[in-house]
Amino acid sequence: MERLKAGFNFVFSSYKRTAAVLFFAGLVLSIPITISLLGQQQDIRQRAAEGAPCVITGSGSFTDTGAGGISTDGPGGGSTWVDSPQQGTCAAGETCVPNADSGGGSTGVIAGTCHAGTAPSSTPTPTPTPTTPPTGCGSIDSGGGASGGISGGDSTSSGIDGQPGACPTGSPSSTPTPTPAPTCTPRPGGMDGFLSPDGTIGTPGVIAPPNGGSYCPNQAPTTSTSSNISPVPIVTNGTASEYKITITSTDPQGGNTIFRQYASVNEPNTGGAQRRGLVGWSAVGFEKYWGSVLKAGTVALRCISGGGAVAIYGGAGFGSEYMSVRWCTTSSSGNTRTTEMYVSFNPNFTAPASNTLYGFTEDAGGLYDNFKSLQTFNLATAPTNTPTATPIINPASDEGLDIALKITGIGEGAAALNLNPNPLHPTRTFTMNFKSAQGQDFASTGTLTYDADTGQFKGTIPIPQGLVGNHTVKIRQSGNSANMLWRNLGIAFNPSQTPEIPVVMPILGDADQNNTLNINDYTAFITCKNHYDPSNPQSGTPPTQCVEKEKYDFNDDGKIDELDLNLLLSAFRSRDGD
Amino acid sequence: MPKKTTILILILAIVTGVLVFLAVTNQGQKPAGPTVAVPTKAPVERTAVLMFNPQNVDISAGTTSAQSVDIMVDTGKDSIAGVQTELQFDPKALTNVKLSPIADSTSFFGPTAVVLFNDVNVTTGRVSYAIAINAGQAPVKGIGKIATLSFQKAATATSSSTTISFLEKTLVTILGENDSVLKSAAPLNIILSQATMSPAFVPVTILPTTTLAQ
Repeated sequence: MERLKAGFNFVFSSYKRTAAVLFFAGLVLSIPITISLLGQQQDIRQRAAEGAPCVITGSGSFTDTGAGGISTDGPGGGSTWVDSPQQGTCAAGETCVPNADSGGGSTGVIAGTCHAGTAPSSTPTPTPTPTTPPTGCGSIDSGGGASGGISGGDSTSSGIDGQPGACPTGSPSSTPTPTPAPTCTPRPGGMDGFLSPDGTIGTPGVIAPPNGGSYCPNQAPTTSTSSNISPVPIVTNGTASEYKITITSTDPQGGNTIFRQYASVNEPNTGGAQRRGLVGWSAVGFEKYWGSVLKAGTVALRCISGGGAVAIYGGAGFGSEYMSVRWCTTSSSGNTRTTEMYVSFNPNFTAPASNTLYGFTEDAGGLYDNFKSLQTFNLATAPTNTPTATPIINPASDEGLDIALKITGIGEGAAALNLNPNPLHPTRTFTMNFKSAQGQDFASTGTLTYDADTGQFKGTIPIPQGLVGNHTVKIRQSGNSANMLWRNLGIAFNPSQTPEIPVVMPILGDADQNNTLNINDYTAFITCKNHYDPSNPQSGTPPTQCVEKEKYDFNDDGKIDELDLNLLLSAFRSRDGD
Repeated sequence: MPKKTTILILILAIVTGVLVFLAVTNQGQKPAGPTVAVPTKAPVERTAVLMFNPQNVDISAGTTSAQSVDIMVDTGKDSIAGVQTELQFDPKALTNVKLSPIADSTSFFGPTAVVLFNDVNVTTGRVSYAIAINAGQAPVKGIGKIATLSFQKAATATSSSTTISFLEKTLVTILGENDSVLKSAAPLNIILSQATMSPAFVPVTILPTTTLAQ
């Protein structure tokens, strides 16, 4: 110890020796610090080399110079696309054509190849070459589709492009002795607005269905035999506003060969009054067949049973403003097909004194029977531009607004309407918003209770204190099962007056309550429909979106099923809340 | 030894010890890699891309013929349930804008796809379109067509070029999640007129890919 002390005294006996010791100590310390820093730097380099994809954001233009196409040639040259789609420019005089394969990226990103000249934007659909003589009633293709196919044809149509066909031998005019089959009258292709098989659109909205095919008035084997609408259409107060139109058609080759059926309320082309709606069912039913002729904001709705879909025509003269289509069923038996189309009429329907329901049928061979008058009905008692209003209590004395609200899918009605008369949640909380002319908001909450007699939810919602002047009033359901868009009551409420409030028809489906229906609402719905599918029960915690199951059970029958799906699809015709 | 020197030595020894400890500690942690905060729920990885095909078109030749482009989706790593495209175009530059859904066997979502809506507002230049899988259908992964957009050059067009761009409300959805998995969407670049171009004009210009934020 004494020696150690003496050594310390010697080493640190002068400033020079002390400085020397400190220098060497610092030198020794710098070694581990340097090693540590070098290690960290190496780490950074390694991570950069391993994980960072060569993502080129496409900022700025570049010219493709590689022979292999732009999929392997980035703006810097030599880069390989591994993530983003190609953002590039072919050389002057070249056109980018999508590669058939997935391109050069390791994740299979689409890319293109530069070709000299101007290439077509898409691969044209080859014109089918007939391998067998036409057996159907093929029409001469006269336009409509870009590919030159029969404009209204479909994959099952036996009509041959560019050739007139013969009517089936089973037609009434055929005889046992071989005689030349009568030639059908070709329809003016490209005049109907349907999509051609290749997905292109014909000239829209000039002539109603069907598309393509041939009119064989004397030989038509396909015919609409009956149609009716039930219950008797009397539009009142928003109640019983849903009707079933039944079209029954026959075809000697079997009801399952019937391809399209239509129902028109009035038909000016046959001397009737102005149309008040034209709905159609298609066996294929996929939306492309309805093209741009659909009523704005609507889609084709798949049938609950039997296949196909139903849609309502839009455009001038079709009367789509008077009618909405909700869902359908179809079935075939023997030579007969029966399709039920569920529709509702605009409460503001201003009908002629007498209306006629027309049927129209087309088979898979393109034969059709033209519009046939099948039933007359009277909508003269239909209400009118002023909906019958539910009287309300004078707010000045009662300080409450009486509200009657009809929820789609719930209520009394014919069994075929699939209404649920016994909702599981008969008492619900609603929020009402009063907005002043100056933009000031007032809120009020109250409960509405289901009334089995009328199928409506009714109740009184308090009026907030302090309202002065005119206010617009909106309402929607609140609470855990809230799924409605804000609905404007259509009144300019003034506390000093007694407004009349029409029955409210809310729009369902807004699960995330952002007051608009979009793809998120639909995705959430099918997520939960799949989760709660009784045929495929799921275990474990439901997805976050599905915790509140009631949000998606629109008709409140305890199930999330096809009926709810159709209610949601119908709701998409009006996607934004008030 | 002076007292000050002793104190200095002690301080230096402590500092040295601390530095050595830190250096050794850092080295020991190296194999574990960088510290990563583990979120309570993994955020949805956005890997889907929307694009036009072709991405650049030249319709300067005239106003009579319609030009068609496909709208494509590349899902990246995700299996998606639906796409909502919100497109914006200049109604003064383009006319006869139509969107044809592709919901048959050539559709990305297959023949049972559901078209939720398809609206073209020629006044505001807005195209809203949504297509999705049917209930019970498995989500889809890969690359494919979801629609075809056709349009013509408007007689009122005055600019030499225009674009059709995806708006921020464009969404790509997956089952079980509320968040969109859309990473980016590239606009369609349209040449309307060659005559007014300056010599320095690049015939086909790629605009930066729009990264859509939630």
